[in-house]
Order: sequence, then structure tokens, then C-alpha cells
Amino acid sequence: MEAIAINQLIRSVFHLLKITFAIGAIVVAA
Amino acid sequence: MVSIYNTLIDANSWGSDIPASIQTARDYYKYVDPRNFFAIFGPINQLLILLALIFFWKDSVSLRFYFGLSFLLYAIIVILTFAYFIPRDQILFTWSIQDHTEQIRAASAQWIAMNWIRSALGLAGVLSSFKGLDIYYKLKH
Repeated sequence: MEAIAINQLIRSVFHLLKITFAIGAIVVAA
Repeated sequence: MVSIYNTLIDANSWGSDIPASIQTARDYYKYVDPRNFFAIFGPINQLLILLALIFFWKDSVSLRFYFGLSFLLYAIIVILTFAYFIPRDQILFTWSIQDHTEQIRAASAQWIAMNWIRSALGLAGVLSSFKGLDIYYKLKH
């Protein structure tokens, strides 16, 4: 269970990181 | 939007009554150089879109395409800035006004015309990133 939770946490952080880069590029360019 | 402001307000102000208006612009920029802004935010933008391209690379080919297109468009803006705008900035802000009034007038008009192209490239880059994000969320849900 803990391993699954940690895996989900890592996935969520990775997802947020990706979105931050993409939206950051939009905000700075706009 | 900064680029459109540059065209509508800044460049029109520099070129509205040459030679007096270009001297006023030079006086205005005497203490703070506008390059200080673009030299910081330009590389940040290029770095962010590069990171987005790398991090979304494995998600799908279409994401690669749209973030890659944004990266390419922003890279074209950088090339255009160095190849076209900076030489004209030199004319506008460093050449002797008395000796080069006609060249300054021409550079000002060329700067304004080409900046619409630069703004359009930037807009296309932003829209391409929007499309990339849209595809990403459709893939996820």
C-alpha cells in the first residue's frame, strides 16, 4: 500500500512539474 | 502582449516625429536599458518550453509536435531579434541623428512592420502550447 501511495505521489509531483513548465512558458511568452 | 505594446506604444512613440521623437526616446532610455527585461525573460521562456518538450516527450507524438512547434517558433523569434531587430535598434539608438535622419526613419518603419510578424510568431507559439496541453488532458481523461 505504501509503495503504491509513494508511486502515486511521485506521479502527481511529476505531472505538476510538467504542467508548470508548459503553463510557465505560456505565461512568460504571453 | 508585451510585443504588441512595443509596437503600438513604444515604436510609434519613437517614430512619431523623427528626429525629435527619437531623441526623446533616447533620453527616456538613458538610465534603464529595456534589454535588461528581454535578456532575462527571453531565456527563461526558451528554457521553460524546452523543459516542457522534454518532459512531455514520452506522452505522445502529437504533444512532441505542438511543444516542439512552440520551441521552434520562439527560436525563430530569437534569430529574428538578433538578425533583424538589433541592427535596427543600433541605428535607432546609437547612430548620429543629424547625419542619418532618413536611415533612422526607415529603420523605425521597418521595425514596426516586422514586429507585427514577431508578435504573430509569439501568438502562434502560445496557441501551439495551449493545443499541446489540451491534447495532454484529453489523453489523461
